[in-house]
Amino acid sequence: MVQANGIDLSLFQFDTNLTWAVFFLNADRTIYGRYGTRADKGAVSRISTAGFRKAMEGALELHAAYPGNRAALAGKTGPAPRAKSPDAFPWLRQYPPTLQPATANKSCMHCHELQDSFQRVAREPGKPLPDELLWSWPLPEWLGIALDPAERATVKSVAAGSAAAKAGFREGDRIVALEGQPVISIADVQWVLQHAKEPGTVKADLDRAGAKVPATLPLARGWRRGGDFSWRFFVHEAFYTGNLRVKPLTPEEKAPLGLSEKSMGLKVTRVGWPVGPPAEAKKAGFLVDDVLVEVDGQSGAWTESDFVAYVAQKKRQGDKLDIAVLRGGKRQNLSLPVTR
Amino acid sequence: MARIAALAVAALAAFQQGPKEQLRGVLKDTEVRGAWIYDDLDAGFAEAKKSGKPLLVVFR
Repeated sequence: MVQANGIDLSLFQFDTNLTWAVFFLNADRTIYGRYGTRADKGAVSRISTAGFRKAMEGALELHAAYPGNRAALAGKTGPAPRAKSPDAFPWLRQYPPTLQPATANKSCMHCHELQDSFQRVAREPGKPLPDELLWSWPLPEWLGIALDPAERATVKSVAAGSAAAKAGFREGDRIVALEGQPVISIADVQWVLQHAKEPGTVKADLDRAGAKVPATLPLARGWRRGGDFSWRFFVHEAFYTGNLRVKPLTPEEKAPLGLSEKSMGLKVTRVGWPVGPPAEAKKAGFLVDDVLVEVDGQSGAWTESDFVAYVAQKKRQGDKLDIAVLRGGKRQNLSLPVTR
Repeated sequence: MARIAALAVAALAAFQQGPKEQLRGVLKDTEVRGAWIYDDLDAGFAEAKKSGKPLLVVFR
């Protein structure tokens, strides 16, 4: 499928910030699994040909067992979506229901526009964006599990002290099922985590050297918030920050500026956007290489994700952000309007 | 004359191509051949039903 125009959102629910996404299905639209994961370290760091092959083998196993496993697969189909197709969003009606060859470049809806649209609808009533729309499609690493991209949902390492460590996950474990759903890929893990209740738990069935091992992953309130979503397109477009993009300084970069490791130090990397508005950061007087050291009185060591989340969850359109920056060694106060 | 004829043949070929083939040409997806069903979900589900095989859908 080379287009998302007219996509059936009741069936195809996935991380639309991917450049490549896969569904394995039965002819009756039962989903066997998903494949395709993207993360902060690049578009292909979590996928591989070997891993894709193993996911396909897993899908074939599930197909062979179908329909006996129908109940276990039911959870892989998502809940009724807010919008059944893209044209439910007025701003996406500019795109025809199918891609037209004569105008392919202009009539192609970008997949990321779907996530942007879900955010926009959630934001319009002036409400804070929920965590699941910002820190969406959580990586298992956010719970301490690094999965091997070359294997089928197999643990490569477990971070010490993490939720996964406390649940008893070990290197080499293969995740067979989560919440009873068969798992054949990292994307399948993300699917379960995206829909998991918070606070709550996720029940896991593990294969440890041929032995079946149960585990229960605890999901504390706010568990997603340590993750990084700054690679996502809506951050690239900088909707919430008036086209201001920032990058956290390293401790070594902070030191010469008199900033401690625990201090805020967000270096401005972009002001404005070549294709048009919003341009609030430019109008507000921000310059590339400014270093944000305080936002609305807060001066902790934020990441770009923290900054965007603060605006999207604590501020509303029409509010202003009081920001202190270091410029040329001097502190300066600027005010940035929130435009979305 | 030969050039005009060649252009006419090309135009006729384009006219006779269905929209999917035209799209494939515009997007330069010339390597997407063989077992792939190009940009036609209904045809994919129909083939899966007919063959009894699972369906692999790639969005890109």
